[in-house]
Amino acid sequence: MSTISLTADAPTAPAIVSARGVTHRYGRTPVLRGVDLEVPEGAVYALLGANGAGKSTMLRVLAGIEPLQGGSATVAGVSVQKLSIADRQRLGYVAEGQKLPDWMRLEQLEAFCAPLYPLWDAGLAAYLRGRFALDSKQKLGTMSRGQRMKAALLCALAPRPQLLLMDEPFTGLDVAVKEELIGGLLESAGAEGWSLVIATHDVDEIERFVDHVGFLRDGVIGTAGSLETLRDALVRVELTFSNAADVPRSWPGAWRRFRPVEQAGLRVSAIVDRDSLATDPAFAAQASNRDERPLSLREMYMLFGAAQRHAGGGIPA
Amino acid sequence: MTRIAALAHVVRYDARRMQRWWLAYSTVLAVAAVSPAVFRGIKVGQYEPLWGYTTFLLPLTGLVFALALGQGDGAYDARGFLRAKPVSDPTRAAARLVHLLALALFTVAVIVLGLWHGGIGMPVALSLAASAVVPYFLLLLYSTSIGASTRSLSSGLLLLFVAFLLLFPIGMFGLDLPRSLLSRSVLLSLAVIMLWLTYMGRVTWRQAVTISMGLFTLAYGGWCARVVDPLDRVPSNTPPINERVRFGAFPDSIGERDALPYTIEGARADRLYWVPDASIMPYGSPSTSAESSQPIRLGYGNTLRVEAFAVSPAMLPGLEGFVWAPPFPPGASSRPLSGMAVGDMRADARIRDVKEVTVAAQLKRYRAEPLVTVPIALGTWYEGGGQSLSMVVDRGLPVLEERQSPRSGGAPLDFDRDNPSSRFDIVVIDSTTRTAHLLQPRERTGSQAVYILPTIGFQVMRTEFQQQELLRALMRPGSRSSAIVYRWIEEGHSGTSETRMVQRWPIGPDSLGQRGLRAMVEYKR
Repeated sequence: MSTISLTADAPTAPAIVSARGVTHRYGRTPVLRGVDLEVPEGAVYALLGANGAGKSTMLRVLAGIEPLQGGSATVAGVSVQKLSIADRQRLGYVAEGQKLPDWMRLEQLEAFCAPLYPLWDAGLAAYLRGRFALDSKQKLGTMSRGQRMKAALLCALAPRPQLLLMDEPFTGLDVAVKEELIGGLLESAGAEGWSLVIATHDVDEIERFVDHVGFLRDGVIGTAGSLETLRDALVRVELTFSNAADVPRSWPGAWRRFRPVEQAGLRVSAIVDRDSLATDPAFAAQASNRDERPLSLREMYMLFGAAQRHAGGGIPA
Repeated sequence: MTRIAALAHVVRYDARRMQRWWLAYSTVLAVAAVSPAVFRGIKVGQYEPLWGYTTFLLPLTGLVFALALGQGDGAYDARGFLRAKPVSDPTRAAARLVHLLALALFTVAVIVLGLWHGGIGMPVALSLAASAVVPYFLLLLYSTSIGASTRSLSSGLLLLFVAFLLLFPIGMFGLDLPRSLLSRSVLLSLAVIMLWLTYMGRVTWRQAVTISMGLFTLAYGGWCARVVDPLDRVPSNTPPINERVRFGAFPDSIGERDALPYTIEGARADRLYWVPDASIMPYGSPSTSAESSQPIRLGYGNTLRVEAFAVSPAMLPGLEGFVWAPPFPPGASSRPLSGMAVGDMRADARIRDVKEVTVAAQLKRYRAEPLVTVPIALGTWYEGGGQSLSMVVDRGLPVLEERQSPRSGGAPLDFDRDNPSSRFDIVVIDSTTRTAHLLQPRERTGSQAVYILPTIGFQVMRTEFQQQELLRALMRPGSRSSAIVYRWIEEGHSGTSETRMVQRWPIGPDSLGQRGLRAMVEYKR
């Protein structure tokens, strides 16, 4: 089973993040095996991958939290190894499970963060506090998980970052909180033209607002590009036949390139690249019904991001 | 935001983060400081639980504090709050160091108050504190580094426990190895931690090399030795002297406990000499085995007892014109220095017939340094260098009480005739009659030690003198007598090696019967 090569998708804007061959390991355990990543300026980029694929590590490398062990990576044209304090002041980082000073009230947290960022916008902070319905007098230690994430996001957005890195920001949050977070995020980022990189496997939540995706699997990004390009390139074709005799017994290679053709009775479904449709096989014409639609992000994730299953897997008898 | 402002910002943040630890630690120290029993010389057995309090709880609380301090936003704490903020690594590290320094100073300051409250004079307490700050700071740094290398407090505590078990054999607790070695051990352990963090990808090689180079420079650059051994009384590289040990004629035969006479050529009358080591090397043995060429130590074990420590008033500054009052102290003499080396003459190797022997001896020269002159009275006689001397009354008799830190670099008061390296002498003088009395120890009682931290503690020792009646008489009101405390400072050393022909040296082992390796030797001119 192969992956589609769309990494040559030329960025239309200068890159805010550019990484080449980034490697990282913890002791003897390699996590990143040569990651290439290009995030255009102003993009909302989703870094998708299964648990343990290396998404969090990649974001921490970009944020300067983990050392760059191999390869090269730049943020806004500056190597992550040489990020100055001024560079980091234009960088926001929010992670699920990130520690917060529980003894502080929200207003104390804001007061602590403000001096660290010369572009801290107290007005924006106040606006986000209201939009997220946060109480400035409440201690962080008594906040719910969603409130803590909102507080962290508030502190990341108020300095008006040029680039915001978010690691699993929606994990464990209920639907309403997710909507609030995404709304606030889109509102701020959209208005200011900030760049966002979101590492997640929560594909359903992000599909409506990301414009670029990269699929990280086994420590490398095999497929990446703009969501529009990917959608143009890949098509799910569903054929319905009138009788069983018309259903072909073998399939052309282009139809089996990404995953096996799924057959349920007289219905057949396959993922093919759009170019292959130009030379439709003969059996397609015999289908009583034919439906084509672009791939959803979830389907792309299952193709390029989800961990590959072992052959012969399944529940043992 | 300037770097100083950023540092202050992070220090305030850490102070808030650690406020509960500060509160807990302050409470523990405060309890210790107001408990005189903790700091006084306690009889072992009577208040034994308190020993655990001082030796275990106090240092452990401080070290756990440092551990927790290091774990926040440490190398393993990738989700730490400050790690994601525009705060540089050096700023975070500097803020930690500020806290550690404050912790060390605060701890030691409270202990100084406790010592003072417990009856120790402030000069001695300050001296003890000064010698304890750097080692304790290193211990805290060690604990903080372990904290930065572990994910949780429990794993950090486990590693800290193991690390201190490893430090135990090399003398962090109990054994009295040189402080510089301890400091190097701690610093080398820190370097190992850096290697581990590098291996785990938590720091870069560049950072690890930079920090390790700094640690090694600290460990081997001499800084530690200078800082933690400030009270070393004996200079390490004393100059050579011209005086030599000259052995006299060997007697025709010499038996067990017989004397081997010697003189010290060129000896000065105002100096003290000591022969710390002497040996005989048999040459010309018919046997070619290695054992026959081993040196034979003179004396019981490796020591050579020298009777002629001829302490005279001329050797002690401030006693010009004084004479010893009877009864004369043993060894006191006004004759030119010469000595009789008396040993058990036990050979520690099989001895065969030889034609010649080589006698080797080392000689050291000491000068007396008066520490203090005080009127004969109860109370403090001397304080300084981590030691204090006080005259107190014990069961109606005047005794000299010494309080001293065993880790302050100096040795306890030693009135031993054999070893001037740690020897003190106390002379009572009567200015009216121009007589001097060299106090002779009769009994050393009740050696007690209270360790407050692994790096700070003291011993209490009491010495009775043979001249107790004299002391009691001189302490009466109206007495114009004084006491001078001397210590002996090594001034130089020399070595002597001499080869002589012998006719019958020594008696072969067969004639020793059941004595086995314990051979009797005979000297021939």
